[in-house]
Amino acid sequence: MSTIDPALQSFVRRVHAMMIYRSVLRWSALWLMIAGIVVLGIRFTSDLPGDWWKYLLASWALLVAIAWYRESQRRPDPKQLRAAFDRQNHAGGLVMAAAEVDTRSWEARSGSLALPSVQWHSGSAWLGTILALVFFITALLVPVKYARLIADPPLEISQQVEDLHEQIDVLESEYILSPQQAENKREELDRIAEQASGLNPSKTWEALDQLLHTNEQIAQQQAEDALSKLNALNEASLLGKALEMLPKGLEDQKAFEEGLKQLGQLMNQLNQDGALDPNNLPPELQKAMQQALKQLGQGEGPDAKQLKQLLEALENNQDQLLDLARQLAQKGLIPPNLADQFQPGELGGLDPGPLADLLKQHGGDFQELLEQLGPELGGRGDANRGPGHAPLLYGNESSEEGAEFQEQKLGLSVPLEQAKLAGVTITAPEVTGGEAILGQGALNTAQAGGGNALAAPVLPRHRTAVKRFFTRPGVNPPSVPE
Amino acid sequence: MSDSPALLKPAELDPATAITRQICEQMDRCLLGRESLHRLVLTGLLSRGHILLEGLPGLGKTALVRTIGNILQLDFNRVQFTPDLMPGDVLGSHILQQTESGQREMIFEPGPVFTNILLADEINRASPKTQSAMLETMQERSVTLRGQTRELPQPFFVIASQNPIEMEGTYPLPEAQLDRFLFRVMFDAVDAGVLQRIITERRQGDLPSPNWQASADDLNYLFTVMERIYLPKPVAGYIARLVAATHPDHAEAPESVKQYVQYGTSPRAAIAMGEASRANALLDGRPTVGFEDVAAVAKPVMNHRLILNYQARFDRVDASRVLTDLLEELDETGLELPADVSLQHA
Repeated sequence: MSTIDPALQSFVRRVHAMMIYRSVLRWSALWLMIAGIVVLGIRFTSDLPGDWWKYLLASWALLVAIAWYRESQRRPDPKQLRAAFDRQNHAGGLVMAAAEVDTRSWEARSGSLALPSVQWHSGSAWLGTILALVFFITALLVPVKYARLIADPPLEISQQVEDLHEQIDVLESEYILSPQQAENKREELDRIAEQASGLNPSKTWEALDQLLHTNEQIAQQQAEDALSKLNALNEASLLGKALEMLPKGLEDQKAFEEGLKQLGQLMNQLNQDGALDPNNLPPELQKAMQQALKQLGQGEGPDAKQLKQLLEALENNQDQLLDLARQLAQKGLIPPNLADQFQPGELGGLDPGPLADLLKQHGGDFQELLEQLGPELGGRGDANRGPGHAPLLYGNESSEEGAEFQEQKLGLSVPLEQAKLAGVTITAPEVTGGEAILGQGALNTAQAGGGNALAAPVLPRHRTAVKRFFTRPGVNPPSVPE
Repeated sequence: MSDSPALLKPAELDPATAITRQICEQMDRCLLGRESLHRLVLTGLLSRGHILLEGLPGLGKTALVRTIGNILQLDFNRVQFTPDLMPGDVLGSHILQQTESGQREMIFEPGPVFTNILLADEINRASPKTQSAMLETMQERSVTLRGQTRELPQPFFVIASQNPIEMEGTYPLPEAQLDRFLFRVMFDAVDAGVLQRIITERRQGDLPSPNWQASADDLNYLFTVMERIYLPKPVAGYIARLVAATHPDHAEAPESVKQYVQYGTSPRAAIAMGEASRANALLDGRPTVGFEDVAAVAKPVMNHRLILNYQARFDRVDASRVLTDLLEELDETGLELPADVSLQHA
């Protein structure tokens, strides 16, 4: 082994290390820029993970490993490095020759060989790395609060969400929505609130409107049912009170029994419609009402005590429906005009006292009485003509003075595709002579039967020449039109 | 490494170095102010190459050749080339002579070329016919006349000169003949200090006699040592790349070559550069050739072999400038380090 070899190997290692250092520094600048962009992006969208620096160090270590591998693959040819070592030491080819021949006899004379220094003008690389580092630190420290606001401005819908939550609570508490349905609506509402963004507010508003509209539809339908039930309850209550006030004479017994019979029908109908909810009553009242309903179902009238308990049950159910309407109106689930129709008390503001007299006069036929009083009482939960008649007035007729028809330009004729097929003949069309059946229009005076559509008039001064042309012997027949 | 050729030992090389040093000292003593030129001429002679001297009259070209011949104790002939000079005037001719027996036969009368050192003065003034007569002598070192080849005395060198001015009535040397010259050496004027020494020390221009002369054995020993100067492969590769890069279509050719060179140098240039580099190493007392030896001889070897185009003439660019660019831009080692990385001597 030549004495030159150790120095040469040191030189080779030095060159390799410098190339790795160069690659690492240059790539670090790029790596810091990319890392800064990534950090900035993460901070804009969410929060940095707690151990972000571990990922950073791991990626940098990977970068160093890649640089080492790449430079190892691109390592200069040792022969070339030997030649460079020779040149830098002005060895006159002795170092190069040492790889090929025995040069030991000259090594003592050549003296010690200095290790050439490998210089890299790293100013620009360091500048780039420092700038990239500054960018990375800036990306790490820059306040992203405002940037986030710019990137994703919030949409303030907390009040709307809270209102909708309350609506859903009311609908659930009033058994309009099942717990599962209410939970589904809550989840949908939370999802809308979570996805609310100022960049696309219409989407959020539309979703909220849709949810509100659905709630209102459900509530309004329920309110209309409740209103119908309330009217029925009012009717039954009025009848009950009137029966309670009916004098108990012999001639009234028939009216009383007839009234009780109709009250029983009303109560049964209410029970079938679900307007009488036993769950809304105290236990003793529930029992009394069930007993009364049973008796009414068997055609037996209740006694005075039972009638009183029945009326109390009816009032409880009325209160329940009124409370429902009040809560729905309070949460804006039903329109005010619908809410206003929920009125406690008697039907149409009738007083039970005079009603009792009327019942007595009608033999206890409450239904007939209602039909007579119907227009005055207003709605009963079904279709009606409204609160009053509006007379049809035929006065104030509009005058035709000064009126004119607007002029309108009509089309020339019917297009071919709109023409109607008159008929199909399998024989040859009948020749009617020169006169065509052209009907009305611009061709009214035209002659059919062939010929040129362009009938140029022959001027008098040309007639002789035209005549000569057509009278050439052997060319045209002598008949020439004048 | 046991199969590799043995490198010269210091004990073998040192005597040769001493001889070359003596020769240079004698030349420097006889001819003032021409140290680098003397070294270059000696490099050419050790390489067994012919030298073309180019310079104005009166600069000492003949004196140089005469001094070398005197120091090396070699025969020296001078031929003044003129337009009417015939090949026979240089090579020799057959003369009809009567022998002692009374018969007549053609006797060969050797020309001035039968010498060790031939000074072909103003070679470009001779006709192409006469110039071409030199081709065989320079390449084969022999003369063939009437079917008979006669070897020239060894060693044989042609040192030609040509005048760069007064080109009217001259015949520029063809490329084939230029290629046979190892060096073209520019003979520049000396500075005033040297001129003052010449005026004071050289009355009537007489040259002093050398006080030391090399023997034939010395010369043979030098040639023997020359054969053993080692040319490492990276250096040989550098010479090959250098010659290849003189061709404009080569990948490593610098911009100036691509712009100004019409034809690059021949393989003979690479051979000549290798030999001249060896001689340069010998003069430096080294057994191996280094990159600096190639750089020292590259210009004289290649400057007359490059054929420049008309663009170079328009831009007043000569071969020397193109070669300077080539030597600067072509890395000797072929080490492809990035541009911003460099090696510095510690």
